[in-house]
Amino acid sequence: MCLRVVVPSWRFFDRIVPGPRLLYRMQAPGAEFEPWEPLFRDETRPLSALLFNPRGNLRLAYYGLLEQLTDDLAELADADQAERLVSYALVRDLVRHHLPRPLLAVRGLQYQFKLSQPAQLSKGAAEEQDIVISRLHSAG
Amino acid sequence: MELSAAQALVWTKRLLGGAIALQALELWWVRAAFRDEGVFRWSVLREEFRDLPAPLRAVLDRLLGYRGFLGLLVVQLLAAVALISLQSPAPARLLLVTTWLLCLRFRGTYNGGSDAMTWAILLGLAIAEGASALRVVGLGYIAAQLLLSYFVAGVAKLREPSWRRGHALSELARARQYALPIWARRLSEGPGGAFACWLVLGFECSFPLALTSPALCIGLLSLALVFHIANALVLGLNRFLWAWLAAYPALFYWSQTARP
Repeated sequence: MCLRVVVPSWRFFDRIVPGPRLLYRMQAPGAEFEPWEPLFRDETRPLSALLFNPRGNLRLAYYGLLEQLTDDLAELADADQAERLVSYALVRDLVRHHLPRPLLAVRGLQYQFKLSQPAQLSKGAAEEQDIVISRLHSAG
Repeated sequence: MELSAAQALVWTKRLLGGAIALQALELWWVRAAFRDEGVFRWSVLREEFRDLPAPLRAVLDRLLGYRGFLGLLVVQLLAAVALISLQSPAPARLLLVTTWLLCLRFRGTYNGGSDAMTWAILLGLAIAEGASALRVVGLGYIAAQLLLSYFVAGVAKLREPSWRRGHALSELARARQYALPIWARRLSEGPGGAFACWLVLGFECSFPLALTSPALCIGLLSLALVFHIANALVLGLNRFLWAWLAAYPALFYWSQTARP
């Protein structure tokens, strides 16, 4: 981890890997699950982003986090240990922070997230594989 | 046009100072994400360092907790301004440490290659300002990293069938993490996208030729600048543009000295 910045690999975009997709859904006490929703929406980038792009770079850091969780899960011998991963905890918090604010006032609201990945970009986005589906977490 | 080692050093410091100031301001702008209640909260991230001795962890808690992190950003910004305006070697050395600490907080890097290039240039500056005899060595280190950054990327792409067949850019356009504008997605499809793939391959793989003559160096650096501006506009990679630009004077200096 400490060496990533010191010894750069310089292998940019050699293998085009589709970014994982983060989806979430919520459940109020006694109610059915809401449908799965993507956490990130497409955003237009202003021309000023050429000079100053803090939100765009934060979004890229979030995607880096999703890729890190994907890698960490692939290395994990026991899938039940996923919640002990730092990357899992960070993604859980990422979802909680992006939940619609008004809904957070609902007592006992719970949320669940899943990370999925298209099999290959060249085959289109239809083939998606779930990498992890979280248990229910409290939104409070 | 001639550029002495001293002039190359001054321009490298000015450009890098600007790039680092911008990076610090961008992080400050989204600082809510790094608060104790934010996404990249230190109370979670510190788990990565649980195997370190307790005194060292205590130091990291001080430096990389939210308040320490904000303090580091302020130091980063002030040192970047000092790098632009002062002759002293101190700002580059300080930035070498603060940049590494910030990357440590982000489990390696915040923004991948742009952090790595920033650190590589800072290391080159630290070498160049160590002694006057080391000035060209430090510039050489920066120039070598710049050359490698394009050449290694080009060769790695050349090995991939998707680049050789010309559909890598259309695949990149569909990768959701970069949120490409619609016009860029359309452009990447069809023969235009395939042509652009080979243009990127040709540019990156031929980049070492920049060392053979100053004129060729200027030509390739101009292409590189257009390449980075396009990446910033299309992929949102603005930090790469400013970090890479800071390495250009070092390469131009070496293109003058390395010619036959």
